[in-house]
Amino acid sequence: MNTFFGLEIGSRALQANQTAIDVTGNNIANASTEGYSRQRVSLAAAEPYTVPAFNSPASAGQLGTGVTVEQLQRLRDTLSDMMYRNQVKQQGYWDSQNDVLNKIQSLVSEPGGAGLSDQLQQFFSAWQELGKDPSPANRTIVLQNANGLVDFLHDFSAQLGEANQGFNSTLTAKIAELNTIAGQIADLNSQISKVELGHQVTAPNGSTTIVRVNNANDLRDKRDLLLDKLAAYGDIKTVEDAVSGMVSVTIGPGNTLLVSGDAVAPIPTYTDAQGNVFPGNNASSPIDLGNGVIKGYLDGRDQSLKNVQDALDQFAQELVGQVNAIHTAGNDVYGNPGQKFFLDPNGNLTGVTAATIALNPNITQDKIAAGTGNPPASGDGSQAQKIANLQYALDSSLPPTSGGPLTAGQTLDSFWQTTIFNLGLEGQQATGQSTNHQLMVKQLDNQRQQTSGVSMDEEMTNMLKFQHGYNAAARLITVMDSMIDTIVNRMGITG
Amino acid sequence: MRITQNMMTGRVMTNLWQNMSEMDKLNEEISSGKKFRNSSDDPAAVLASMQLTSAIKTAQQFSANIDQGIGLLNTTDGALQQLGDVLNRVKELAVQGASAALDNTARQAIASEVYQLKEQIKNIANTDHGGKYVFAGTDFYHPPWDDTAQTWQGNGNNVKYKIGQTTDLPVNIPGDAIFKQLLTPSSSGQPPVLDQLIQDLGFNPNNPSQATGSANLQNITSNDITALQANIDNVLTNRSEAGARENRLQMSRDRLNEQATNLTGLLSKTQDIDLAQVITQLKSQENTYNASLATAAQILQPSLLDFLK
Repeated sequence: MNTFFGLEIGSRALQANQTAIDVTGNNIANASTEGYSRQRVSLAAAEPYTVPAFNSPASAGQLGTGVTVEQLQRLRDTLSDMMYRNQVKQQGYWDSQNDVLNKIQSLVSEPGGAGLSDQLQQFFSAWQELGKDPSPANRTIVLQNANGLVDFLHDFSAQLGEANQGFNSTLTAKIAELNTIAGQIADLNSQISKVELGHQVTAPNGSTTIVRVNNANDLRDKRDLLLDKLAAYGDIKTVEDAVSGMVSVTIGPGNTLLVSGDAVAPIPTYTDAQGNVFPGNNASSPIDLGNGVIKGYLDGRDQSLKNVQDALDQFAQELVGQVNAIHTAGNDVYGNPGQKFFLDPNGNLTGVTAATIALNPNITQDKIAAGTGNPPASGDGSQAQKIANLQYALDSSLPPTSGGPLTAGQTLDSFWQTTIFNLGLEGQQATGQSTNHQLMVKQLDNQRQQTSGVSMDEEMTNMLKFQHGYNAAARLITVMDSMIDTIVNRMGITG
Repeated sequence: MRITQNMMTGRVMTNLWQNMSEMDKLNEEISSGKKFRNSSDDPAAVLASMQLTSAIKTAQQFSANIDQGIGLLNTTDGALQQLGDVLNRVKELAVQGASAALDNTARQAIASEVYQLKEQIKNIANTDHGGKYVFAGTDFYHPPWDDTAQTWQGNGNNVKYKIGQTTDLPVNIPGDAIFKQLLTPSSSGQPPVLDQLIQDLGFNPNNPSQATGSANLQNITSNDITALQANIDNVLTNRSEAGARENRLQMSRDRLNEQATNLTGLLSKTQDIDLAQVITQLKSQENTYNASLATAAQILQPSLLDFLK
């Protein structure tokens, strides 16, 4: 047994305790760092002295040789990670749906004044006044209110179009973000594998173990944080390679490969004829990313927004078809047969949309066919009254014959109300789901924090523990020192 | 369970935000006075409020129609009353004129008065209400009696106003069946009754100062007075028709007004907040918020650090 053996034990203890205090310090410093997982020093007894053999001294038992720092571990609950990411994706989906629906609702301006209902009411009430009294003043009001309705439909549909464009830019940006994050994950993969230098070792008995030189704790934290963020964009699945420590990421139900080792396969985008952006190479091979922010915007644009646009177009077609049919059956002030009140560029309703609906420019106030006869009696507003009656019931014998309010058994007003109602239901669901998932995400995050979060009290206690350890080790060295002093300086001196 | 400071601060923040957003919502309700802003806040209530608003506007439109209709019928009724008075006076004169005791001068005076009354009937026929000739049928922008051409221009059509989604009510009495026979000869060439009366009194119907020959008193008693009575009855029938319609309009208006009041009440219940209730909620929310702030300040502060030397 070496004389200085005890000093070596003391020095190891000093080092180990110092490392532990450093780790504690690092934990405290990063207590509020996003994505940080607390780390723990795993201490182990050093190789004992000595293994009994023929040529080894036969002293009693094995003598411990002090302490050694085995590894620095980070504490992470991977199951909670998976559950968390699963919720994050749902939250992403509903958040973006909620965003889309809020934007549409702010455009609709219903309930309350200044919406389509109000414009429609004014339009029909002008016809009703004209029906009672086809005076030039009332004729002018009909034209003005019709113009008001047409302008409203144009504005509204233009605003919906702008919103649609906005969602396209958002989609482009979100897909770019997704690709950036995927690229960062691939970078981290490569760094982690270089730091950890994981490799397989085959023991003489043929069993294999995986050995890592280092634990890239902080890089792994960063990568997990990026995976948390990536999870919001789509339905991701991750598989970690046991040897290299690199994760490969696939996305969507089709398991499209996004990150493979240190390589990234960015999600491409294409634009269809309407200018709408989709993930995928082209229309024949779109990529389904699964639930997430991107799907939320896609569904919002292609369902919620499109439903409102379609409803508005059907509304315009029904209005044009029915009003034109009645108007052309009447006579204007001079007894001439009524012209089409609204334009229909294709001679039928196919070309009529909320964006293109327009009054026939030939219709001046005297050309409004308010009555019948050649010329109609000066107070004859029977045709105008028929148009006003459309407010209460559409005429099933008049076009259009498919789609729209009439085939749904509704009036223009109630058709629009139903559209608003459905929009409201979707919005209510999105808001509710978004709030729910937010709460669940929060809960799951707390669950993760139970394992990974830094507790100040705990770190303080550890700090005291390691400080005492350090002090004791120092004391040990002092004792050893005085023992050696006794041997070296005082032994053999007499007198 | 392992709790960390971050979990606690996180939870405190989430709860404080939630409290604040609740307060914000209540605040918005109070400042707008409405229970909802977007249809997603309460789709069913929003649908109901849109339907109610639309129903109220419809009721208001019908009510306005009725008011205008009553105005027209009032004028019509007034004119018909005048016409009745005129015809009764003519009948009186006819009875006087039929008396053999009268001399020529007296008969001429009667004939002139009848002539004047006929002019008055022409004026009554062209009665207008705000520029609309009430007896012209649907051709109400042209005076029905054209004095130059001595023809009746009005038609016998009804002007119909909408007083319900499926109910129209005529708001005029076409003068066709009242004035035409008083002002123009019948299809068989028979002169109108007033002209006949002047003629039977022995004067020119177009110029009562001009004597045409001997009077035909017999015809006055046997035909003219009967014909006059028939016209008076006709006017009365039409007046009662106008009165009946006016009654019906008034009843509809009362019903519509009541309906509008009910609907407005319902709309208010659907969309307006109960101020007392919301303010109470806000107060209790404020208390919750204050309490959570106070406890947050208590629990976030201490850690082991505070007790280490």
